[in-house]
Amino acid sequence: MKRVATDVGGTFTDLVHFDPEAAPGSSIVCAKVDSTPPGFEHGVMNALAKTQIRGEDMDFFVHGSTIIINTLTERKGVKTALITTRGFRDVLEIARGNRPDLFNFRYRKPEPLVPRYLRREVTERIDYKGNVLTPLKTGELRPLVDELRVEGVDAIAVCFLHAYRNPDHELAAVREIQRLWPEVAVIASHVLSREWREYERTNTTAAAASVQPVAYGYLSGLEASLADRGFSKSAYVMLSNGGIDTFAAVRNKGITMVESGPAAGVFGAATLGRLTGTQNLITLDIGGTTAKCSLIENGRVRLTNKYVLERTPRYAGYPLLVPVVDIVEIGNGGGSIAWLDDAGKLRVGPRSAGADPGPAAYGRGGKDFTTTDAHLLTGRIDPGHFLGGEIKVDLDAMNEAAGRLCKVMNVSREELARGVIRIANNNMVNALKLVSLNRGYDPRDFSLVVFGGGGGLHGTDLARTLQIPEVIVPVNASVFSCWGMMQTDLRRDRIVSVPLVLAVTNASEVDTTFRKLEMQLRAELESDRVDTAGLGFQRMLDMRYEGQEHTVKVDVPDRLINAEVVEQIQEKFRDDYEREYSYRLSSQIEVVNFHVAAVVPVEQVMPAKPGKTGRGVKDCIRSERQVDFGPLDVHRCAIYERALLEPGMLIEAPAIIDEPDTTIVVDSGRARVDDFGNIRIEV
Amino acid sequence: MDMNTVETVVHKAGFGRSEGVHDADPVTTEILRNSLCSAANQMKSTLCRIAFSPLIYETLDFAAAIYDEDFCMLAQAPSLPLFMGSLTYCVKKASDAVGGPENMREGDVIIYNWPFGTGSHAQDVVLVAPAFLEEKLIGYTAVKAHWLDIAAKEPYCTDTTDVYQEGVIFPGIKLYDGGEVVQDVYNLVMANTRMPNIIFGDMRAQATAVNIGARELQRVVKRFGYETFRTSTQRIYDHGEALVRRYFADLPDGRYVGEGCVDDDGLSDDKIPYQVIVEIDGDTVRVDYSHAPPATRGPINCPVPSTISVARVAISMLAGSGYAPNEGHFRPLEVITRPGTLFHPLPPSPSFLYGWPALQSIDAIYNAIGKAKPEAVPACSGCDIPNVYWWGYREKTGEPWAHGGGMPCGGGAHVRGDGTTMYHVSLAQSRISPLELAETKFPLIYNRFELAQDSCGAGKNRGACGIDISYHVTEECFGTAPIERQKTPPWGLQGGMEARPNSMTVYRPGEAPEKIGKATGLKFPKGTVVDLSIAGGGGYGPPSERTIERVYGDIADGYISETYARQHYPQSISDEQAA
Repeated sequence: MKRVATDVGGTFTDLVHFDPEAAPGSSIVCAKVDSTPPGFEHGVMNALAKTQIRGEDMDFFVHGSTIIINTLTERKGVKTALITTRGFRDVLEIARGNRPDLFNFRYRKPEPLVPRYLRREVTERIDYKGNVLTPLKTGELRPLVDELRVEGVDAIAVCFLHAYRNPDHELAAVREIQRLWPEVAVIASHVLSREWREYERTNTTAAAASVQPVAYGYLSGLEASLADRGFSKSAYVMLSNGGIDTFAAVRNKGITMVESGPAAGVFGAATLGRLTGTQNLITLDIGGTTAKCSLIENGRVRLTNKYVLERTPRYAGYPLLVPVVDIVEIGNGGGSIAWLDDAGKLRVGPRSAGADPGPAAYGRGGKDFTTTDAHLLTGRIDPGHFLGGEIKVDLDAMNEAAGRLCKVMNVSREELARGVIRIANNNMVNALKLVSLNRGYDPRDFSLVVFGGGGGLHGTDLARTLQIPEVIVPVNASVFSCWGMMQTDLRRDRIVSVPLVLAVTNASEVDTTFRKLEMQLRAELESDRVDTAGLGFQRMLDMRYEGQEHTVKVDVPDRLINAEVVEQIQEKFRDDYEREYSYRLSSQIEVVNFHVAAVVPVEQVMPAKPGKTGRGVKDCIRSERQVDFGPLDVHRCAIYERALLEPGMLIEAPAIIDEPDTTIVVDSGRARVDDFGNIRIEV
Repeated sequence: MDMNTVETVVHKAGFGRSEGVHDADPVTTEILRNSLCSAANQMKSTLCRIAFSPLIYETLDFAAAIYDEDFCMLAQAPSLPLFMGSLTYCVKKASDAVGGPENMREGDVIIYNWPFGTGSHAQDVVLVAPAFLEEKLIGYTAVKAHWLDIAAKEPYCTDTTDVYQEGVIFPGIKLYDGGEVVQDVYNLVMANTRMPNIIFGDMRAQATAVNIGARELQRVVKRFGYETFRTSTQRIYDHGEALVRRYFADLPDGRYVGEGCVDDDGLSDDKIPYQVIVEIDGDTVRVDYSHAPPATRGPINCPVPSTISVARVAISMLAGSGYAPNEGHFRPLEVITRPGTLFHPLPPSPSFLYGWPALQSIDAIYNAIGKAKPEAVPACSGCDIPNVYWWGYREKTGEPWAHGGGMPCGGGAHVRGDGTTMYHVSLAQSRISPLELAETKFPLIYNRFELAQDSCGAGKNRGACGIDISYHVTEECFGTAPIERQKTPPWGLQGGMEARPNSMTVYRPGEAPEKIGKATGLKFPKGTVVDLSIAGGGGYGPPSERTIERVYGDIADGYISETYARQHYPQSISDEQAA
């Protein structure tokens, strides 16, 4: 099966084509072209044209995109209204009332995604058991819809209290709105989330409505362009839950692709782990503005249903109740700016110089000293081959940016650069701790997979601090996400709040609930005409000790749940809980959410192993230079060209391995090139 | 007794003193600071995740922090600001109570809640763990958290007349000794609560949190070495001190009088006005509470550690440049109190509702500083912990239940913009419990939960709207309502107008509506409706300067009515426009 994966980012569009029948060495074709906002589908077509891939060369097309998250963060969604339960239109504005920036009395909460004049109420009420307290007054919708039409609204979000328990009123309201105004985009909360917490669910629905016409237009446009190119097979979209789904399904639920790109990266790492027999991984993706990390245990990627868009330690952000790969993101990347606070202390990030103007060394008018500048100054990045030689380093601009800080701090440029790198590393160590140590995982049991432009520059230092024994820099890291997508299974998650005590006497209720969810998912897939051959289910329960709030997600076996299995689940919960919180209780256990993932597996592919020419490792040395390794001192060391490296080669520290778009620092231990061309550094 | 004959007491609000330039590497210092903050945050997340009480995991009614061996605060997790400022004193008192460091060893956890040492009511229980490295004491970790019940005359009280009616006292005794639970103490604690099934979980969570903090502190000191740790932390304190001194040096010197007023003491109906005087003297600031009225018979007295805490919070908000404060921030601050008064009560004065005057006095301090530099502070907020504390026994099972937690209020407007509806500054991190959860767990139904039209203070920048909440009670239960700021509306600043005050009305089936101020033991028969009207925030600047666009925007959004607009913004609503 010939596969194509494309990944659209704000700046670049990546493409990977895999043909298992092609001659070894040419089975994988990659391309990178400029993204083409706002009509991103053109970039995809350009990438296909560049690689001369025709419609019939593709049996399987999978697509990831940042379009949804960009639409949300740039507030470019359509004009959206909210219809909600009478008496509760301000749930969206009052939110949870907290102010994370607690030493700032001018703190402003996130602006509600729907302004108050477009938040409308209808008479209806359902209680927590799903009983109707006040029937829906459908007749109230006509005048309301007329008003929204006059206001020029393009999408309507419908969210009623306790609709996660009983969606009848939402369904009736949506039907009526569609009858009255067939052209408007309308989405109800229960379609997106069956979890309680009205603010979070309302916000999710409002966000989903505001991007729905965007997603619909985008995916329809892309589908049409693909058809024009002669493509007639299945096209899929990469979702935030680390699965793929059909264009048809995602078109009406665009919000589910909000973290499509990062999810693909983490799943790419999981795939790499499977390939190389490394099942425990911590992933670290260092881009221009942020670093993102995640943890994979025994090949399983962790999902969260508590994702919050734009949250920082000082900003509450927008909660979205859609399953998303559990990623910790911090404001530290290559473009992060070094600055001095009011009392003269050195800080790095979260403000970033981005791609434009970029670090001072880009010479595009950037006046700020960034992490990338620090890497150049220490000699870790080769000024002669900056970004593969595409950019000529502006040393004057860089020195000037450094000079301003040095003068105030009274340190040398070298000391400044070392300091910036140490602080950036420490920020990232704290993020890595959040996904590992703080959840009871011992970093010594994991390998660190680094990717993104900055991964190789920081990886070994971070691994040493956390005592992670090995750093893996995958081959062809920049198309890593595409590689991940290609191997991703079709997946739909359904999470439903059904609070109950997990007791042996409840076994059959647990069993029935799971089966009901599975039947619903199967029916939905079939009605979407997805080929369900091989369909399997992953079952999970969000559980806690009775009385607690926070839950732990526990895997549940996919078989008849009887008293014995319930006891196993209880035991598994107590074990997982103890790992994370260091003790166990004999208290009752409560189930909050049932979580089922329907998975239709995609055939896994094995890339051909690169051949060997018998070249010696010395032949891969491009040059030598002086490099400042910070706490490990200054060394004159060899600079290797990654493109020349071959499986089995060993490189002793200190050394630098250069790629066109990234640099790998080997400052301790030694690096080995594995059978697939990945670089593995024992630190 | 003539209070003025009692000598005042001057409290240094920050421990230690600046040692000038420390020879510490700035980068190492920054990394150390970060590591300590991360350790404190780990304590917090542990506590939140494993606690049983929503007061901890939703309201964040707790503080978690790390101290050095001299009781100077190294780092704290963002949590309840009012607690954050008083925890230092708790650690010192707890240490003193067991006889100081020589009587402690690794694995000890001390339990302490004497209100005159913690600054709080007895429900706020502190656990303290010493941290050691190679048998040398290197610091302490502490968590102070609100416990749902510790055997006061009622789970929540508004009418106590001495501290002994307010709960059992733990005078600073070991709950864990060298890592082992002291069973006798544990049993005693469990015997003194109406809700042992919740307290047991919360206490466990709190102990786990302080132990994790101690382990992390040990790791950090080990990694950097004791000497580097000490010099770097001195540098951290100096940094905080420098920030705050710079801020006050820029304010004009002088004595500024801030006005505050508590509605009543819970027993009588008399208003209790008080003054807080802020004196700026170069780069030092003195907050003088010594003119406060005598301690009250009812439980609104604020013990000294919280009085100092309030001053600490107000000052860090203003002068800390947004950084989480450390000990150094507090060094430029002096607090003056007079023993036997509202802000320096002596045993056995009751203090169950200490939090209300405490948080109100933050607005009083802003009121004073507003006279020196109005643009530095916001107008008055709704300034209360609007809350009904519910409890009872479930109809079907007889299980005891309790539900409470403050609500957000309208924030005051400020020079840069309108106010925002959120929690009072002293409760900044609290979060509303989702209504869907509350309805599932408790016999309550919300009839509405919305912003209250016209509740905001008008102004060039307007205050935020308050909230109207209406509860329907579906099973007979009881309630306590400590609703403040009903008699004195939130004030405006620089010509801005005052906002709607708080109020609460109970509608029992077949009875006349009852207005509630502070009340304990309210009985709510099935079918009762309770309306809570939460105050808005004061305005900033004259309403005549508000632009027409903003006035019309507010009308379109329904934050204000047209009638209100005519009254407060006549410049915007001419008759032609209205027609």
